Amino acid sequence: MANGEPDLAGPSGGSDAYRYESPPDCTRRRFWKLAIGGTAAVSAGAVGYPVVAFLRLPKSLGPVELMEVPLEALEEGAGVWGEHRGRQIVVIKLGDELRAFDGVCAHLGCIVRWDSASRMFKCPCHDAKYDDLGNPVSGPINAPLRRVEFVVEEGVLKIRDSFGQR
Amino acid sequence: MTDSESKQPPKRPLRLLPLVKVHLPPLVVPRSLGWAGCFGGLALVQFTIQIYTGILLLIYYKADPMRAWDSVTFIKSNVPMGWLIQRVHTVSAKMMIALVLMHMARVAYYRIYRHPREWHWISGVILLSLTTFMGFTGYLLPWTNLSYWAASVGTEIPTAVPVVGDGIATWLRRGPNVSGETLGFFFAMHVAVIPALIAGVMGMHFIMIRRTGISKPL
Repeated sequence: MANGEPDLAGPSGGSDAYRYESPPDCTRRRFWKLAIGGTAAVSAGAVGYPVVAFLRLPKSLGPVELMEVPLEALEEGAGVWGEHRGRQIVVIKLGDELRAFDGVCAHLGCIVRWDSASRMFKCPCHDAKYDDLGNPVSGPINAPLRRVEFVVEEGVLKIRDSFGQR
Repeated sequence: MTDSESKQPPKRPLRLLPLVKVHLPPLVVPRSLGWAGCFGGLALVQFTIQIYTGILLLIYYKADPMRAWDSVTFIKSNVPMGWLIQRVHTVSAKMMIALVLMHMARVAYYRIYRHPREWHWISGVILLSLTTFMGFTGYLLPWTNLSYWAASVGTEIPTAVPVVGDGIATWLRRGPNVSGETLGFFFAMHVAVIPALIAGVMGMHFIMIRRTGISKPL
């Protein structure tokens, strides 16, 4: 056969109507080259992407941002949520006192909810409960919520550093 | 054109793969070798995964009892893809031990440890113990309750040895109990000493296989 194509019709010949003529660039070798090359490329991507992503700067190590909460936004007994450097921060107002917490539950890291009626933080995952000081009340926890430091300047509550010791 | 010029070979681009092929003769593998013959090679794959995920974890890990657990939590929850890299490191460690054991079980079943492959087996046993030590030292590093007590129980084992047992246990713990000093010691072993030993013994293991060829199952 010309250009090395197999004779599909067989040695005895056959009707030309049933002969399959593959396009010249569609060969088995080319198919396997693409299939193996494609698989290799996808595998390399699957291995390479997490490595490259790991080397990116984590949000919490990025440039220092300021989380600002205007004091007018704070209502008695209610919680105001905000994000600071990848952390969920809640600010609550109890009387004249303001408190800010990192919303991550000490159990398995879910984000707790502030229940203004019972004045408790409740975790939706495993029913951990903390009082309004962040101390554990009940549930599978033995550590408090992390307190976050803040300053109040010109009627605005400002959080600069949400990292603190537990 | 002079005679000497015409004898110069034509300039060709430097191709590295043929160069490697010339210096690394192909390993002849018996036709009857089945999938069970891949366990050793797969253990090597796990080892390379351990090396590169381990280097990545080193960026954030702190070998300090006050900060070790927090640093591991930080990797898992704050570093992009950190949860994946950390999990791959722990899972692939277990898989490496499993693969080494499966490799050895096959070698024992086919009695490949016999002459001329005694040293293959001996170096393999050394590699198994090194891999186990790798897992044992790595298990302490997150400094959890579980890892603390695992290290306590593990370092208790040598006390069964008469006369020198207590000394060995104290030496391993760097003191009477598992402490921050133990963590530092295990960390150094885990990231520097044992990997270097494994790489060295593995190299010898591979050279031996190259010299004798792969055994044909009967």
